[in-house]
Amino acid sequence: MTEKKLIASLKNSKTINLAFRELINKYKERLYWHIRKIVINHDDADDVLQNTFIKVYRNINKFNEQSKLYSWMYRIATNESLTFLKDKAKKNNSAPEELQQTLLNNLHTDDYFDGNDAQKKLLKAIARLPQKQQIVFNMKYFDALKYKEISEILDTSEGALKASYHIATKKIKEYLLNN
Amino acid sequence: MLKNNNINKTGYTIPKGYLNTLEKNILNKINSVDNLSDSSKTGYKTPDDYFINLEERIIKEIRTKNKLEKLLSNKKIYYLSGIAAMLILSIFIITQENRKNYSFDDISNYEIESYLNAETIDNTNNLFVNILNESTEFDQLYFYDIKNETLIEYIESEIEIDNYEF
Repeated sequence: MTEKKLIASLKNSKTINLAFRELINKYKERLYWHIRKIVINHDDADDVLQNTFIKVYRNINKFNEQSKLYSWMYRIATNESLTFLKDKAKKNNSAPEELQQTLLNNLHTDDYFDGNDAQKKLLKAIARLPQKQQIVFNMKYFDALKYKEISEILDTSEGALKASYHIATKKIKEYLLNN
Repeated sequence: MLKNNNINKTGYTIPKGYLNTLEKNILNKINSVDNLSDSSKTGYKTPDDYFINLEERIIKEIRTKNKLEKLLSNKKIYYLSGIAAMLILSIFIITQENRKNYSFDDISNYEIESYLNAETIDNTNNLFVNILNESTEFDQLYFYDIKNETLIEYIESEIEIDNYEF
């Protein structure tokens, strides 16, 4: 099914359920990994992913098709993840970045992590970046999205994104060299 | 030339521009598959079969939330209706209480005594004087000329004289 047809089916009350299943199948993994990199923990990622799809289901009629469907969904997933992290950090009386560091320090006890030391170090370096730089870096480095696509998702100019990615890369390199 | 020959021999055809975009499509597919296996880059894993039943769980979650919200909105209507009914009932009772006509029997003797004690004697006397002055039939009532025969007849019929000792 083409994206246009899928959107039309999602906006039709008679076909939404079938189309929604297709939508989940198409994007579940991409969105999961995007969310997981922000919230780190699998259970939290699962919660946020479900909330993301629920929001998509409920707001599909508000989607104005100015951007691509997956860009819109990525944006919802990003906002949901950041809100989740912020709320969780607030409960622990800490900043979201601090919480991420704490979670990454406990990765060795996580059943759903089997990365090596280099991977752990890279994730820690990323978590030291400001939130927006983290997201830009993740989307560019791990998800291999184009600046144009990231620009649509984050509603930021391509120039600003390039600068952000450049700074992020520099900071990560510095951290990896010094630790 | 070879391509055209093959088409001619088998009868198969391909969509317009298929071969021109094939390379790009394959590379996109490879990239997208690489992106999906994110765990190789980050080290993060998911429980076995996590993605297999994910779709079912999300749809179930949406249904549960929808049902819950429907129930809550129904409950809200019930609560509001209850409050409205209570308000209407209260207003009705208050109005009825205000409209109620009290009869003389509703006033206890104690209340009458208290009232009379609280009022000044002068006022009470004035009240009676006014009543007596206003009554035009007073003379007729109290100075009625009663014949002796009538009086005896009344006493005999109404009063049991045997009960009284002379």
